[in-house]
Amino acid sequence: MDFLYSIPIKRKLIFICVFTSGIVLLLACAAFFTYEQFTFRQTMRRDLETTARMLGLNSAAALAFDDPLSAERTLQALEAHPNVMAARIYDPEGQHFASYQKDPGTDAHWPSRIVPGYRFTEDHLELFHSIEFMGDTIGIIYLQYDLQPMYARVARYAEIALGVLFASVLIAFLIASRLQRVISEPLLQLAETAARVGAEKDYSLRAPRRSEDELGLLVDRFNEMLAQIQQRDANLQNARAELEKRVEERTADLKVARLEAEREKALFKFIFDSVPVGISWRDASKEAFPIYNAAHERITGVTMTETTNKNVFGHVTHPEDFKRQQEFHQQINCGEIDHFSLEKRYIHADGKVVWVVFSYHLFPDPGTGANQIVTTLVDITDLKQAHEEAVREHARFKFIFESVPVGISWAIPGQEGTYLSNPAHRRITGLQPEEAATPGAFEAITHPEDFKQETALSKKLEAGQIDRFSLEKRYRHPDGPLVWVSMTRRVFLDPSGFRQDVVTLVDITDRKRTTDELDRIFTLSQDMICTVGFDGFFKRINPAFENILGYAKEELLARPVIDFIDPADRDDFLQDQERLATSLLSASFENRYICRDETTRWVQWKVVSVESEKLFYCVIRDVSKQKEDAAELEEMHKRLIDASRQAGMAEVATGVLHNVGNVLNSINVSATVISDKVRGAKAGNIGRVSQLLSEHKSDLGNFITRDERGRQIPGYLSALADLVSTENGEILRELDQMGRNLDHIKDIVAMQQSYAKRSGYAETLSVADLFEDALRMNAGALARHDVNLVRDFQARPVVTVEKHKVLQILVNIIRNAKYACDASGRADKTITARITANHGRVQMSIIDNGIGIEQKNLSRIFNHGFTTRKDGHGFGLHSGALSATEIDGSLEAFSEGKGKGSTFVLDFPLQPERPDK
Amino acid sequence: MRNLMEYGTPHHSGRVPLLRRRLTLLVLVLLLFSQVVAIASEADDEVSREYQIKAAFIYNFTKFVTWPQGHFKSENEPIIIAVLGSNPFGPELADAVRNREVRGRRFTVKTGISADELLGVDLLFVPSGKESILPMETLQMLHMSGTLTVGESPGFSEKGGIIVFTLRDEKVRFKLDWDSAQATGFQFSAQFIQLALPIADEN
Repeated sequence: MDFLYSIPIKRKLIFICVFTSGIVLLLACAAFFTYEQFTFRQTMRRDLETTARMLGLNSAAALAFDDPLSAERTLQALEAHPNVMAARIYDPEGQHFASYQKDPGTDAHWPSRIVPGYRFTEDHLELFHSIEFMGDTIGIIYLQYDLQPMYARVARYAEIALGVLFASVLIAFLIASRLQRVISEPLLQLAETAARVGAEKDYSLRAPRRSEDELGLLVDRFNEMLAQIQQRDANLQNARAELEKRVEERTADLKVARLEAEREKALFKFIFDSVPVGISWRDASKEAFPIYNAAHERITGVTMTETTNKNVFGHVTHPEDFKRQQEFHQQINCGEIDHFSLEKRYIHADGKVVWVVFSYHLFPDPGTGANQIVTTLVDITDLKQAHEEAVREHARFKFIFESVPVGISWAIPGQEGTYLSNPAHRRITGLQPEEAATPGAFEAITHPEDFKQETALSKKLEAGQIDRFSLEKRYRHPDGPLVWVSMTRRVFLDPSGFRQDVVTLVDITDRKRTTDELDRIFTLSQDMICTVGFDGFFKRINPAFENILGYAKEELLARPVIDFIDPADRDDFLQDQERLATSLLSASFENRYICRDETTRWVQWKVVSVESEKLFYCVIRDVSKQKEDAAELEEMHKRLIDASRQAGMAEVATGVLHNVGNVLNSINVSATVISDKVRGAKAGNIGRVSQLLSEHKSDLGNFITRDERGRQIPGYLSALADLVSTENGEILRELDQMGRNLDHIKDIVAMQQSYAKRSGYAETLSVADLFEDALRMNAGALARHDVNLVRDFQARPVVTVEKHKVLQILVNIIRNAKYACDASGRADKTITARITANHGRVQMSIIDNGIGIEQKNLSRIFNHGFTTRKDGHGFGLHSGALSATEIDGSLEAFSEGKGKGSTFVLDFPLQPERPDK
Repeated sequence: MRNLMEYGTPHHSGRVPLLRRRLTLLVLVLLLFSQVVAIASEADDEVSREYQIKAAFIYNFTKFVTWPQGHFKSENEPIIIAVLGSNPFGPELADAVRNREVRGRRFTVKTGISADELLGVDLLFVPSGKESILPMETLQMLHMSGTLTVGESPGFSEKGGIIVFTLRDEKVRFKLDWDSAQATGFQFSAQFIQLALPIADEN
């Protein structure tokens, strides 16, 4: 209902009247309608119940005697009832009994189940009513009442009600429109008057009075109020006119002053903001609102917003400076001073340090008399830095100048007292600065040989023809020694435009001395000393070359080194050179040089390669003499060995023969004794006895018994037997003696053999040759037996060994191999002779494809007396194995079994383990 | 069925337990003859159904008939229903009227009565074939003494019985000899008369 406040009072009144009457009528209609509806329904229900009861009674007999046709006839009576659309009778069990439909064409909405009582559905009123007869319930009747007519009636009622409502509201509107004027008109007139006063500002207007009620009173009060306002308005008008006049006068004055002030302010602001000096300005009595310019902000690093933080400048001030500044402030506070300046540092947030000249001024404001504080900051950081840099630079220069081992003197020509010299200069020249300043001081100490050259160069320099010169010269110190220096003098313009004359002296005395020494050694050396470039040419040679090889220096330098080397050694030399140039640092080797007289000389090189200089440093020594001496020595040694060997052998032979001769004497005596005994033996008498017996063979019995000689025979034989027995005993004794002597000889020989073994003569010879010797000894036999010989010499080492021992072993096993091949009876009889060498040992193998060796025999073949051959005596392999151990070697046999051939390997060291024996 | 039970008729309520009793008996005792008995039972049912209806009709007749003036000696004298000879209803008739009242009178059912015991019976049912033992004169006399006679054979009608059951379209109907009834002082409701088939109607 808020809208009511915003519509005019006239319409407001009309609306209230019409709305009220409309609502009242609407409520009346609704009540009436509800009542009507309720009673109509009641009536309808009652009507339906009556009809149902009547129909029930009429169909009692039909139900009792189960005659549906009769019941339907009864129901047919409903045709007269306009609103009953359908009816049905059920028997007591609820089974359908008889039906009726007002309009048989349509489908009646029969109820799906029986529910006693009535109910309103959307279109119908339904009723189930039980049929009672004589105290029994004999059936149920159902009636369906059409509600359409009822709805039609309701609609009609609604139309009428709406019509009445509309008419009533219309009438109410007309009446209200007339009657509202009584209230609205005086109010409207009052409002109109007020509006006019407001619009025209005419306070003489008055509202008309029409009634005597509360509205009339309101108009009176309004008019009184207007009269008062009229009076006050007149007074106000006068006062305002007076004021305006005065204001106009003042405004003109102010305008001029303000323009002036603005201009000054702008000027100040421009200066304040653009000056590179930081400025702060504040009232001493008030802490608040100091002003800072942009430069101040930049120099201190404190932004305008941060200045509200108390003591912010104290925080950014360097602690060392802070205290000093505080002292000044103390003085200001005590009134002792009114301004101060100091150099101080500000530290920015990023760590940057800014040096400033800080000035503080306290002065009274000329206008107000209040104390003003102005501080100014001038950034002197760059200045400070430049100064520090200069100091550092000077210190650095001074340190270098003082400590450098090069003598330096410094002067500005033509200016007195500009002469400077450093300690090194003083040390080298032996002159103190004050001495040096005296004319002719340097001339006095300079070696006369060098003075001329220096003077000439100095003149050129002073004439401006050259700006520098360098030379090596000597100073003679007052106390004697000569000092070699490398002097450089230079004149130049410094950045400030002064001519500077600088002399540097480097003491090269030691270098000079060293170089001289080396040169001397180089020249005097008996060995050839040279440098050879990687290009293969001599670069520098000493005089020894000329002496030894006979070539002139120029000849040697003109041709590559290779040309002077014996063609047989050139390849080796080139290889050495190549390796030295690429990987080796140093090497030493020997080769032969062709001298100018076309003789060759053995030389020994020692070379160091310096890759950075592309040079070989070589020392070459003539070793021809040594070589010759060595060859001669060797030859002599050989001869000595031969001689001693022959001598040794003769001595041995003499010893042996002597011993053997001694024993042989004894043997000779024994032999003579035996021969004498045998010669004088009575054995000859046996022959005579035998002859006698033969003669008397025919009558042997008679002879022995009858003949006298015959009778003597038995006695004679008996005596003879005794004699012979005695002789035999004597001979046997002599033979025993002789056997012992023979044993002695054997011992002597054996002893000699063992002696020979110990001092056996070891020879240095080729294994292959040795093998060949052995093979040659058997060559005839091998050829006779058609044995094929294969040589498999995988190595050809040189050994130092007792040749005859090796030969004895080899001959033995070669013969064995030949027998083995022969015994196998095969056609392709082959013997392989193999030489292999490793780890300082050599293996000589004889491999045959003969009968082989049974496994059980392999361990026994080296036993004394073991043999498989019919005519063998089992000594060869045994002694072979012994000989092998005597040369620190071994003899081994291998065979895979009978018929599979065998291998004998003789293994011994290349050098005997005890070469001293 | 609960709703329907509210309208259920008490005289029918005894039938189902009976049937069940019988069936239970048959099942329990005569397992061997179950088939035979089942067929017999069906036949029984058919007979029973007809007489069940007829018993109900007999009860209903009492509602639509007004006995002659002064027939009943007192206000609540029971209506005596008798069945001549052997009882074709079984228990149905007694069941149909048990605990029932018509115009304040209860019922007494007598079955298997002989011709000598007919006097004083209010409604006599003559089963088919028994009419032969009732001479027309006896019937007349019964009517005169206020006995409503109900039969079920055409012969009974010929002999002058008042109500005769007949079957039409396999439904039980009845005929009314209204003339003889009126003559003997019986009054019938108009609806009843409308429902009754005319006595002459042979179909």
